[in-house]
Amino acid sequence: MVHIKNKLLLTTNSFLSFLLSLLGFYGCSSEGPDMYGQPYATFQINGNVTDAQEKPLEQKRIIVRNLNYGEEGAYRMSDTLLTDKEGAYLWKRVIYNHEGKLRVVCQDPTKQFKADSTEVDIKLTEKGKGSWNMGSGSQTVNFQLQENNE
Amino acid sequence: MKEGISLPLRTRVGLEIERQIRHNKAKLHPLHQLFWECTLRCNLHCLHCGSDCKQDSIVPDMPAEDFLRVIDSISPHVDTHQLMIIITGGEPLIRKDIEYVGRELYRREYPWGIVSNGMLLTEERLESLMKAGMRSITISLDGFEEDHNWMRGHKMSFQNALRAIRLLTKTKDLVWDIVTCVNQRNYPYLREFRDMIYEVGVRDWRLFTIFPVGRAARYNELQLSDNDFKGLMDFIVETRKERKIHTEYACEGFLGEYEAKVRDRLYICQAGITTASVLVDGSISSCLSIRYNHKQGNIYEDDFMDVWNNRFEAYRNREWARRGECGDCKMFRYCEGNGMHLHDDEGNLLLCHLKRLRKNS
Repeated sequence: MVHIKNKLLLTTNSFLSFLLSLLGFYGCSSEGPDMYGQPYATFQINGNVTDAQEKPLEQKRIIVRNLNYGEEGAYRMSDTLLTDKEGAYLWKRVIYNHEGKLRVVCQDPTKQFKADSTEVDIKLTEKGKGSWNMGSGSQTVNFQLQENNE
Repeated sequence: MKEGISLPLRTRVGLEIERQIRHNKAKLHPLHQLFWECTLRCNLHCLHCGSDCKQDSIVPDMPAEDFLRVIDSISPHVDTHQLMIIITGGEPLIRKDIEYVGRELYRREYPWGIVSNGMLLTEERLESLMKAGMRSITISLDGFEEDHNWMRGHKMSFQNALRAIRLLTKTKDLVWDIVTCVNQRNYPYLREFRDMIYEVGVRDWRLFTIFPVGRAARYNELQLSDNDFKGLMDFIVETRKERKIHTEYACEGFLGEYEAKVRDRLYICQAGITTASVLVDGSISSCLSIRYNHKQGNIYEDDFMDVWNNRFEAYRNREWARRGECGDCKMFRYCEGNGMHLHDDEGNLLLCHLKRLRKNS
């Protein structure tokens, strides 16, 4: 109930802010123009996971760690991402460091295959619009997992 | 103020809409700005300081871990990207662990910035702050050398602030502005000062005037006359029209016919609605202009979010301010008793900006 009420208040304020902008006033519902914000970029990594015979592997876990935060990666970047039936995955995030490296880790929850990982440079190929939007970039990372014979 | 105030229809409609936005926001009270008064120690001795801070403050600095514990208690309840942490003091750069706190904030994906007098902002310190994720900084500059140094109580304060500003002009990925306290000494040459800071590379400039709190209450020279106050508003209007430096009057009061002419937005006091603070002794309050008289709790005794969600009533419903000269003022519906910081311990209004402007109209 509180959630619905808050949504209603937010929607009302968005509409009122729109009216203010129609009158020629600063209508953004946030507090200030640009003083308080943070540069961000959109980055995506996609790829396929296969076995040694290049057969797609389903349900393999992809973990992306932001090495700007150290080897343990970032708070909030550890959502579970699993490959689909074609062995494909797509990781897409808004990131708040638009330089540096990410580590992409591929794990097999069943332990049938050995884990593998690689580092990816954060490179933005498209320039963003606006003062905080730094742009977007993408990388393809494929994994060919080896059987775990241990 | 019993007499009617004539505002253009457009402004009046805008103020009515803004009033409703404010009331809705008060119900939502989304936390968007959190000030951390990390120290009361300062390397200057400013005449107008509201903090009554000094080099060797008897109040100890708040340990970084105590503040980060507050941050961790807030994190599950907010969108960290929408909450700006502003580290202030005293002079925050006196502390050696600002970068540590900054990195920890950055790791938790909070944007953060500082307010500084620039004395300790060397090239190396700026680089180290940037590496720790600092994204905004405000530097105080109160006029040309003699007057800035008079105000700041230090013969090198102007040179150091200017050096810091020059560094900022060369720094990418940083939002910064300068803030100027307008007083009787710098008011006569504001235009020359504006031209100078433009040449240096300043493109965002905030001006404020003194309110009679802290040390400022003891220096008449700090207070503008009503006539000069109106002149300041006209100066800001003129400077904004030039579009060379984005200039604003601070958020401190309702300005009647100058609304939306000297600031980007119509007046709203965000204290307790979107803005909170953690003071050096752990007090939970709102913007740093508000001292201990309106504190709502203490981080060493209370849960911050519990205080934020369930107290702050006096900030969110300002009906208590409808008394004295505000009692029958028709503008109360828009200003709701002016800024929260402009009320004394008993809740009486210390300063009405609108009244100052009306005296000269």
